[in-house]
Amino acid sequence: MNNNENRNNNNNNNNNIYSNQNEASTSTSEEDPKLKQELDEYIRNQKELLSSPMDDISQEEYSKILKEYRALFNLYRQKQITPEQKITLNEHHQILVKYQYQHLNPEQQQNYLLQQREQAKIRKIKEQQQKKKDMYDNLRYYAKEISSIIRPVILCICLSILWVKLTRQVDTSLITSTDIDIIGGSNSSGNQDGDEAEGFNFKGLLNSFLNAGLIIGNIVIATFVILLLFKFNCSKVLYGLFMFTVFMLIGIFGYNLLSTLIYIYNIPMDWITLIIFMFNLSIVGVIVIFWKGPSKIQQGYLILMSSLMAFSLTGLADWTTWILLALLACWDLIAVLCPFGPLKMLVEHSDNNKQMIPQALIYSTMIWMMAKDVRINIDGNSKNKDDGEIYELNELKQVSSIQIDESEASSQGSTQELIDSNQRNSYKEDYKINIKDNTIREVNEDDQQEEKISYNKQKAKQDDDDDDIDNDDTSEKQSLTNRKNSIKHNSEQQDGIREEEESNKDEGEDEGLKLGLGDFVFYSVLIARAAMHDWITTFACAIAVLFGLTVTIFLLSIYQKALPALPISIVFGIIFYVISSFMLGSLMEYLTRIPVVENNMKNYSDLKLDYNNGCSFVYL
Amino acid sequence: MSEQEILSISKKMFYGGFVFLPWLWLVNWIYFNPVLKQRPGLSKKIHFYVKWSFIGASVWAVLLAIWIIIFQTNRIKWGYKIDGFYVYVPKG
Repeated sequence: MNNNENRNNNNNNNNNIYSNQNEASTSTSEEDPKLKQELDEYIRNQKELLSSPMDDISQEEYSKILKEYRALFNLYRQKQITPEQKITLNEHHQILVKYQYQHLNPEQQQNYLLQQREQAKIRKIKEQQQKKKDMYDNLRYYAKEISSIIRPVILCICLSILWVKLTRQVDTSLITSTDIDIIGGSNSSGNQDGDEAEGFNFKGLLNSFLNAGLIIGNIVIATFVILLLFKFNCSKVLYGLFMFTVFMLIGIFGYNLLSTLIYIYNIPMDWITLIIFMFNLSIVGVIVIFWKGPSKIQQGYLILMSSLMAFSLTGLADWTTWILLALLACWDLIAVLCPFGPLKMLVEHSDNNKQMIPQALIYSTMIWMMAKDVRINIDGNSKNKDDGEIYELNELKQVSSIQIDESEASSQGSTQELIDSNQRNSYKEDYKINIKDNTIREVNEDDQQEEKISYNKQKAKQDDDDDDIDNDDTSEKQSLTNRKNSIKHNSEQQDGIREEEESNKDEGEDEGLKLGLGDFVFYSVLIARAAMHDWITTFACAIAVLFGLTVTIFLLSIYQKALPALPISIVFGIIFYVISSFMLGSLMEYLTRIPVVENNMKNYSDLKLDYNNGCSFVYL
Repeated sequence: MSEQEILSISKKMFYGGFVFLPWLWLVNWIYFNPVLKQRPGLSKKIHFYVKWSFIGASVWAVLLAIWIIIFQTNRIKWGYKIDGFYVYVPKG
C-alpha cells in the first residue's frame, strides 16, 4: 500500500515535473546544426547527471525532501527566497528528479529527455531573439545619442570657423562687397619652423615634422604625468593644475583673440572695459567649470575653450599642423587601445576606484562608456536630464574615465537637479562630456539613473549618471602656441574630457557617451586649418569630420568599449582637405569663370567672380 | 539639490560677486531663478541673495554702459588719453 502510494506520489511528482516542463513545442523548423549540437550536448549532460548513481532514499526521506522542496518552491514563486534557501532548493530538486528518473522505465526516460530538449531549445531561441532585440535597442540608443553629441561638436566647429574667418586679414583690393564676414588674407603668425613649406621643400618639411614631434612628445609626457598624479590621488595637485590651466587658457587665448579682433576692426576699446570683461570671463569660467554652475553655461565655456584652443593652434605652420594631427591620430590609437596606453589605464583606474575625473577634463558628452549601463543624457527636455555637454578644458587633457561618486556628483547639481531633488525625480540625465583628445569611450553605468547623454561637463555638472561614476578623464594639457610673440604655453592636452552632467541640464551621468575635450579641440583644429582657405574646403572638412565621428560612435555601439575618437575623423578630414584645397577650388573657379570686361567695370555693376574667396562667389 | 546646498552656493556667489564680478552675479541669478520659480517653499535668504545678485548685476551693467558711452563719445576730445585706447585708430 505504502509502496503504491509512494509510487503514485512519485508518478504524480513526475507528472508535476513533467507538466512544468511540458511545453507543447514541436520543432517547427529544422534545427540549425549549431543549436542542435548545443542541445545534444545539453541532453547528454543531463542524462549523465540523472543516471549517476545515488543513494537510495527511503520513502520518508523522500516525502520529507518533497515537502521541503514544495515549501521552498513556494517561497521562490513569491520571490522571498534567500540565497541559501535557493541552494537547498536546487539540491532538493536535483535529488527528486534523479530519484524519479531512475525509477522510470527506459521509455519514459527517453520521453523525459526529449521534453527537456525541447524546453532547452525554446530557451535558447528566446535568448537569441532577446540578444538581437538588445542589439537593436542598443543601436537605437546610440542613434539618439549621436544627435546630442554632435550638437556641441558642431557648435565648437562653428565657433572655430568663425574665429578663423574673422581674423583673416582682408585683401581689400579684390573685394568690392563683403557680404560674408570673410576677410581674405592670412593671419598666420610666425611659426617656429620658420618657413612655410610649400610644395616639397624637404628641409621645411623635416622642420615641420620635428615641430610636430615636439608637440606630440609634450602631449605624451603630459598624459603620463596626469596619469601618475591621478593614480596617487594627488587630487589637490590635479585640481589646482587644471584650474590654473583653464584660467590661463581662457584668459590668454581669449585675450589673444580679442586683441586680434580689436586690431583688425579698429575698435576703440578702453583698457578698463577690456580688463573687466576678461577678468569676469576667466574667473567665472573657472568657477562654473570646476565648481557649480548652470550646465548650459558650463558647456558653453567648454565649447568656448575648445574653440579658442583650436584657433590658437592655427598659428602653427601649415605642415606642422597636419603632421601633428596625423601623429595625434596614431597616438590616440595607441593610448586608448593598447594595454599599456595611459588613457586606458586612466579609464580603468577611475572605473575601479570610482574616482571622479575632474570635470574640467571631461566634456560630458561622454563617449566613454565604461560600464554596462549606457546612460544617455539627452537634452533636458527629452529626458529628465538635459544633455549637458560638459566641455572641459580646452587644453588637451587626457582624461581618464572616472567614476563619479555620488556625493560629488550631487554637489554639482544642475538646476534641474535642484528642481528634481525636490520632486524626487531620478536624475535622468547626466551627461558628461569627456573631452578627451583621442578617446571615445563608452561608459555604461549600472546606475539606476536613466540614460543621459554623457556630455560631461566639467564639474559644473553633476553627474547624475551614476550612482555614478563620473568618468573624468584627466587629460594632459598641452598647448603650444607658436605665435609671433613666441610665447609658448605648455598646457596639458586633454585627452578626453568628460563631463558629467547630471540632471537635466548638462550634467549627465556617466552613462551616455562621453567625448573627450581634446577630441573637440583637434576636430576644431583640423577644420580651422581648412577654414583658412576657402569655404568649400571648410565645409568639406567639416562634413568629413562629423562623418568620422558618426562612424566612431557606430563602432562604439558595436564594440562597447572605449574607442579613440580621433583617428577616423582625422583620416577623413585630411583626405577631404587635400582633395578640396587642391582640386575643388580650382574646379569651381574654372566652371564659373566669366570673362570680365575690365573697361566697363566702373560704369555698371556687373557680375564679378572673385576666386580668392574660393567659392566663386558672385559679387554685384 | 538640497536647500542647504542651494543656500550655500548662492551665498558664496553673492559674496564673490563683490570682487568686480558682475557676471558671477548674473550667473547666480540664471542658475537659481528657475529653481526658485519651481520650488516655492525655499528659504527667504535664497530669494534675497538671488534677487540682489540680479540687481547688482544690472547696476554694474548700467554703470559700464554709462562709462562706455562717455568714453566713445568723448574719446576724440581727450586726445592725450590715448593711453586708454587699445587700438590704433587710423583717424587719430
